Amino acid sequence: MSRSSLWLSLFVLALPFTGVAFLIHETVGFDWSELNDAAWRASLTVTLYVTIVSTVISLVIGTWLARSVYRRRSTWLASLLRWPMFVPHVAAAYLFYVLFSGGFPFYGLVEANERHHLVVILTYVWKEVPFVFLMVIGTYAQLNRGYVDMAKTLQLTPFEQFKVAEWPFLVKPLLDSFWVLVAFISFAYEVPALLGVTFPELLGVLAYERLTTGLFLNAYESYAVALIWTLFIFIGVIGSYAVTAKRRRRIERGVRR
Amino acid sequence: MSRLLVAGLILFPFIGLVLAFPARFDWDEAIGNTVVYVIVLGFVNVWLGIGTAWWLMFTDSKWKTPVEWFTFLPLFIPVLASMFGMYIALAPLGLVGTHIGVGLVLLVTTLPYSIRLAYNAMYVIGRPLLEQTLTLAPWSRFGLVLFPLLKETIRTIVLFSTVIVLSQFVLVQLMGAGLIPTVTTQIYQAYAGNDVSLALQNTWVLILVPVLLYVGLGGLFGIWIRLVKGRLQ
Amino acid sequence: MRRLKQFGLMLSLIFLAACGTTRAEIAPTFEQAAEEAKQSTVNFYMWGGDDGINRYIDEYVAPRLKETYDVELNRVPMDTAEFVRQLSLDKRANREEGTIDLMWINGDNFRNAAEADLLQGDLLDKIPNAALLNEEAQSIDAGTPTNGLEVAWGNVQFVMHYDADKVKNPPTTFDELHRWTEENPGRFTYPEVTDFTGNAFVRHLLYAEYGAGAGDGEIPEDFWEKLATWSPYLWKQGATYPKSLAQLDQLYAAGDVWMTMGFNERRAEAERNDGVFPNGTRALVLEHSIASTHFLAVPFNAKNPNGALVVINELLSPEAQLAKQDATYWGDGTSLDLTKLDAADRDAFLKLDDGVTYPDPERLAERSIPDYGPAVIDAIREEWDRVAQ
Repeated sequence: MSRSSLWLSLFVLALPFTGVAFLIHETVGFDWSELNDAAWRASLTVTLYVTIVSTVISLVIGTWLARSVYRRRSTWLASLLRWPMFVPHVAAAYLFYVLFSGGFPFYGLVEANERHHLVVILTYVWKEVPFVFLMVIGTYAQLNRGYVDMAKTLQLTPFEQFKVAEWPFLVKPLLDSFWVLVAFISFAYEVPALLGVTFPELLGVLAYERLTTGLFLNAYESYAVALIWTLFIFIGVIGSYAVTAKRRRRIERGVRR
Repeated sequence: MSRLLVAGLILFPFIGLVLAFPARFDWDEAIGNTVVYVIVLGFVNVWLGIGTAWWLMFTDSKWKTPVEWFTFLPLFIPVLASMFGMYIALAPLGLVGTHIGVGLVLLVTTLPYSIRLAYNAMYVIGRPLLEQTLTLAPWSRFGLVLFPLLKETIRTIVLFSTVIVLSQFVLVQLMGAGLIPTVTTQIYQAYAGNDVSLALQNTWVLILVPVLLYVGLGGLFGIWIRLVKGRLQ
Repeated sequence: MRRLKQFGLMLSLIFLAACGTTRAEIAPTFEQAAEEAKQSTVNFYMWGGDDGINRYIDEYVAPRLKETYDVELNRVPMDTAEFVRQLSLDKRANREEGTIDLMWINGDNFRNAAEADLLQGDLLDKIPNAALLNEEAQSIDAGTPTNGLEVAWGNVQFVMHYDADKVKNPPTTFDELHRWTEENPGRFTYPEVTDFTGNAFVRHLLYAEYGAGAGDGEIPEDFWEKLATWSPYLWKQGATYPKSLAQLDQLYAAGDVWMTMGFNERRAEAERNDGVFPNGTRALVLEHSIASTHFLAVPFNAKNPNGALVVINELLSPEAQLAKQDATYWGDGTSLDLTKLDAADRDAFLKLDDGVTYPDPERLAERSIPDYGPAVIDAIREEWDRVAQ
């Protein structure tokens, strides 16, 4: 029974890999220096900025909220955090657009469609904090209180208590969430298209635009960018997993002998 | 007081929704398509997600790690990047512009999350407990033990797959060749257009679908649990 | 063993589905095409961003087609560049039987499609009403010769609209427009140049500076520097531009900007009548205005090319063109040559030209200029970013 599920899943999941194979096929013989123009460079800078800021803020707030729920056992917070999860990204983008297009709370304070992409970051943080919360709360649910108590008896500072008792267990879910968020935010289209500016555009928006307007030759630029970005993320995932593997294995299995 | 502040921070974007409550709910093809996709994909995700995660949990084959990475990496392939390759792969099979084709690519975007969520949940429950269920026949295994244990996870899987399906505009436009309208394809054209109240009305639908599904499933599972508990007496 | 058999069965079913896809044949004459097309569906892919146009197709054209030819018209709203992209992927995937039967296309989308061999040719002799077409409009599309790969559907000219209640002394030249923006900061903008209309606006400014001489695609630096001086006085200080014409219209309707623009001299009438556009909307024709034609084309892998021919013929008929020009729906100018029509039809067309927001047709006609070629359109698209920074 689970064997057939496995085969079906593998068949379905082979499709995105064929997508990447297509990208590789298309970019054979591509002149990579074409990507060295102002639009792509500015796009890369702004994408890194928005992605890292949104991801880090979401991770920090999400973890902090999970921790608060764990320590105070407040179920109201947990159920409240469900609400943003019901809103699809497109809808969230539009809600923020409606609120911020005229400036909020009063004219000119925080506006959508401006250079610092504050509203884009805000939208992503609003949507992703519940996601991080969900990923992390599972870990906290099975956290062994013994570690926490032990850290307290050792008279460690609160920060050191966190570092010793909780952080080792958080590494895996946070790493997972980090890369999922980075992959999603950096190459999305719908949200930054609605809430961003004309120049510089985020990678996903610029790639999609170059694909669908102008001469077909521009399409190769987009394929090339999509390919290197995907490979970059793959390398990041595999690399960070390799680097933390030893430590994670020790945490999961404990030090023997 | 601080509770109110936190609640305010989390809920403030919903203010926009209050500005336009839908005057009428037309049951047109787009909403029909969307609801069917959401339900079917929710079901398939739960089935394949739990099935695959089960295999990953219990297998001793040497393929375990490669399969784990194979199911794991698509999480990091942006939809925009794999879209065109998937189109070319599925076009010779005649699946472009068909419900099966669109369903398949939507499954591609949701399945990695489902497998991950199911695996994490089963890991937390622990292999020893799950192994006990192997003595039961499959249907009893699922109905009496696994579903009650995993009901929260199932609801979360359905929620995730629903929200992801509802977010897909570019993908459905490409694979469906414009022939398959969903609430999202219609709404995106409204977002880029002139009519603000129309856009807000459609946004209501986008948000209500996952909410109703989640609450509905909660009710359904509640009934199930009561039935199962009854058998214990 | 059982699983293997199931798998094999599944595989063979998939292969079976992949077979049997060959290109559909066009009938040699129109009468035969109409015969073949009876009881069939035609998928008409077109830009769906204008409600008036959508209603014209749904409420006027589709019922007529059903009645006269028994053909079901299925209007599919999709951005032109997207379905051209789809066709190019179809060609790559060797998909001989596609889903697009007829499409609305022009400008560089047409040029891309023609160069990539995505269109069916030899349409004109199979369509009886094509004899009524205006030759000049039919032969060239934004500088690219059409070679019978597309059929002219309508003719429009670029016009700007302004709110006369707020703008007391409208500018008459592009230079005056520039000064007007300096006196009224934040009240004017134009769409990004990836949008057809935004690109056209920049082409107008180019023509104002350099005339037809800029046709080779070499745009001098000075032009961009001059355009950059507009930025501080534009909407949002030029930090961002509306992504599409629809968004510019939204800003104009809300009163954030006081002018809008577009490729259809009659486009504002229906909006003003509905109350979407302000009551004071009037047309503004500056010293020149680009005339542009838009077309219909049939892709290489159309499943129902005969049906497409029937629809094109119907769309070119004088009655349909008259309804199209009427402000109730679209207000799009006709692509037919009025001298080739009989007197009654001709009079009907001439009587249509009176709306509150219409420009003076003579003034418009004398200021019309032909469009630049694709080289300029591309050059603008590539170089405009420095202005947007």
